[in-house]
Amino acid sequence: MAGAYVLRAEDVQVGGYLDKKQAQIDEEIAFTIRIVGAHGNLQAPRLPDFKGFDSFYTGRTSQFTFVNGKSTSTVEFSYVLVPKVAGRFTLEPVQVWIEGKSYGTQPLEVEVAGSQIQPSGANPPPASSFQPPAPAPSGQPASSPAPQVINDENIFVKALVDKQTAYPNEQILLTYTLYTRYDTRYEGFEEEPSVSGFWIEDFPLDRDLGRDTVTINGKRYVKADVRKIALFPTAPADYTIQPGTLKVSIREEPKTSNMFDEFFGDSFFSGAGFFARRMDRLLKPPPIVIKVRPFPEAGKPASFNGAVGQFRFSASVDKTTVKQNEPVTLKLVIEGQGNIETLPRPPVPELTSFKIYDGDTANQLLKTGDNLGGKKSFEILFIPTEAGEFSIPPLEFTFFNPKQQAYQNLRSPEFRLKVTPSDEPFRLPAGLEEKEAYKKDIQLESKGIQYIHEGMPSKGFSQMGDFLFVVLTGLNLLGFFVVANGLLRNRREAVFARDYGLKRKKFAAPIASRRLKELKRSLKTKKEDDAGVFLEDAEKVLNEYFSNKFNVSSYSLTTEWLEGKLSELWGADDPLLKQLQEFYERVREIRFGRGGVPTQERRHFLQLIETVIRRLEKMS
Amino acid sequence: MKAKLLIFIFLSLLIQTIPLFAQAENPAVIFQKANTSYQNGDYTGAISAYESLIDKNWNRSNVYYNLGNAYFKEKKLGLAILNYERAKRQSPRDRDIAANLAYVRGLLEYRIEDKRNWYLKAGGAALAFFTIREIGIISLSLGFLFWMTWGISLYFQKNKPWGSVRKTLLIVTVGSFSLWMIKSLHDAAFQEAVALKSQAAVRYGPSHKDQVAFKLGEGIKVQLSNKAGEWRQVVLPNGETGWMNQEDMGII
Repeated sequence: MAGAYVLRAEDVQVGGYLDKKQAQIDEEIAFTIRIVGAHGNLQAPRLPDFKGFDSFYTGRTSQFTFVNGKSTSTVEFSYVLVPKVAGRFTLEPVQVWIEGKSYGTQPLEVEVAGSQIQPSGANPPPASSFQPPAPAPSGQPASSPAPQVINDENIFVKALVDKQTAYPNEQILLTYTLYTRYDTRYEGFEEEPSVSGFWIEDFPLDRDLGRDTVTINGKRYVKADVRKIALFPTAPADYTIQPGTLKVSIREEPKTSNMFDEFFGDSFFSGAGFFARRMDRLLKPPPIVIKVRPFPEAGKPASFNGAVGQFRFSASVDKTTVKQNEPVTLKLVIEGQGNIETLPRPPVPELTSFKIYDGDTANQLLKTGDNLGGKKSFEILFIPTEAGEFSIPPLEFTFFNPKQQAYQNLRSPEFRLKVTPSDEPFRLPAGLEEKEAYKKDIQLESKGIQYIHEGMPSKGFSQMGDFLFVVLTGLNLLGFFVVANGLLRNRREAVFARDYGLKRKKFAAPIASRRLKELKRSLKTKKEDDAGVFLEDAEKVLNEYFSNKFNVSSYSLTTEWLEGKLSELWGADDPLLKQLQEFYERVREIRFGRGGVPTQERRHFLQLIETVIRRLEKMS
Repeated sequence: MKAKLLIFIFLSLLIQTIPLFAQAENPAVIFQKANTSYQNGDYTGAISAYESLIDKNWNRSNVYYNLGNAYFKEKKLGLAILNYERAKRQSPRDRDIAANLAYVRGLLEYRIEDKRNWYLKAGGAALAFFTIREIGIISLSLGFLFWMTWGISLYFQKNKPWGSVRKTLLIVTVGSFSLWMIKSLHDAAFQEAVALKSQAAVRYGPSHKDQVAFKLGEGIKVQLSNKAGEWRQVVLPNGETGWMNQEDMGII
């Protein structure tokens, strides 16, 4: 079997399978879409247009099993593909929507041998004429870009239900019948029907679903059933079904003569005429009103839980003599006509001598005439917890038969079991032991408030929080200042890196101030004999300051240059300039050994230097 | 000099916290007495003792929670909910408080559908998950880390561009500070209260002369808006508004 799974979620697996990879033209190929791990009502996936194939939906089967401790639900949708053209084909992925998520099968390859190819004109009309044909080849000027719903008496569709009043869960068959006087090809549903309030199941169509000619208001039409849907209402109410919109493509002109003969040779039935000029049309049948009545209360058994239809019920056990704690499997089978998918398991009464667990369930959908039905089986595990003779009492399955308008009650036979003693302790049967669902839930017996908190409310913890808050606030402030200072420092350094003279000018006063402090300290310690050293140091301080302040080399700083610069700043007659000249004169005298410098005079010079620096700093 | 100044500021802040530790009042005896009264079924005595702790500013979540339990035993559901809500403000993630609050709310006669948009509900739940102090400490810690990493790079890794760590830290820090600000503004702007009186009248205006708009069941939580004398404008989660006398409510 060819096929592959596509894993898209943790649990859901979607796979497509073909029963053969090679086939002849018109030889049926079984195509199965298998969905594992999905829950809820799955709709039959709509197949895309498989180019070169006719396709038919043939039904579904589903199964719920336990394997290696895991529950698995499997649903299979079956289709038949009939190749019409020879060649090697890749079937594109089929999109499946499960709980709002899109899944897809893998592309599958199939080879169609051409030995049975016949000239297209000689092809007999295939029975598959009611399925959407393959899309038109590219370049074909076939369809108009935006099809519209147009009322045209030459083509229309009727959506009819087989009954307009029903009971909940009773099958209502919705049939779409196309009436046409054109050369027509059915393209599928443009808009799916809105059937809120119904469990729906696409009804498998026969390959040879009848087509007929009818005369309506004096006009001859060809009619064909293009889709059937089985609807199962979920609750009593008045429902309005919006039947959706069908898409067809037609030749633009209606056939006016010899229509019946041409009809069977046209593309609607033969797939021929792909290259003819065609136009898309949308057909929208009117809404349908359905009244769903409540079940009659008279005679309703207590065991009735909504099953509707006509069913048979059988039961069997796999053994009648078992050891204590050894499981016995009771298999219940319900088959007949009705919504098999939603049939609930017949209820099992509480049995004190047994532990009871659900096992596998499986169902198979079958079609009988215009009714859906099938077979559903339930397995129930009975594990005797004590030795002796016990019985599994008859289980009841009750359903409502709408044809007879009556409830029917079916009972399984009573099964007597002989349980022999065993030392084996109870344990969940293999397959169930890892399943959490089979472990019993803790039952809450009452509700109330939780007890008081007896622990002493600690203020210390709260105070620690307060302390931490304050510390962190302080650290943040500190961090802010540190970063701000760092930013300013880096910026200043960047400026100084570009302009070194500015840096000298900026730092001239602080450097001089530091040097002056050292000189003041030396004033206290040095003797008058060291006058030469003191004045030389003082001169150095001043010269270094001028050199930095005016950004000149200390070698080019001559007395004449300095006098000129200061005269320019202060004026030639400035008293401070005179004092400065005297200072330099005195330094020269001392340097050449002419006289000493009393402490008082040294202080005067220091003050002079400070005054000069202050005055120059004020000017800048 | 700068360093000395910074140390001085830091120590000053530190000293401010010392009085918090210095409070020497010991309410342990009262708390134990209240618990014993509760255990012995003397719920009135327990209420009185828990209330006295709160009067002494010992308003911790445990006290509010136990007081809520005592009021519940006395079948005063409004006061029980009010105290659970107060406890929840301080311990927003305490499971017992949440369980009791949900249980007691389930016993109320009335319920009000919360018609706020999903994002407002989600935002409210997110803000209620932390206390202001918790968000503050987280924000300040992140802030300090951010300043530290930036400071280190300024002084020791000059010209190094901002790396992903610092950028991420900046974003997280700004986000955290924003949340802190929003939470502070939210708590300051949207005061909440619990109706304490059964069938408390909510009127169209702030006086007894105004027409009754609707009656509020005991234990229903409302948001407070404007104030006029003894009256507060209340806003219900379903959008209904009206004026309610302050006597009929307990502010959370």
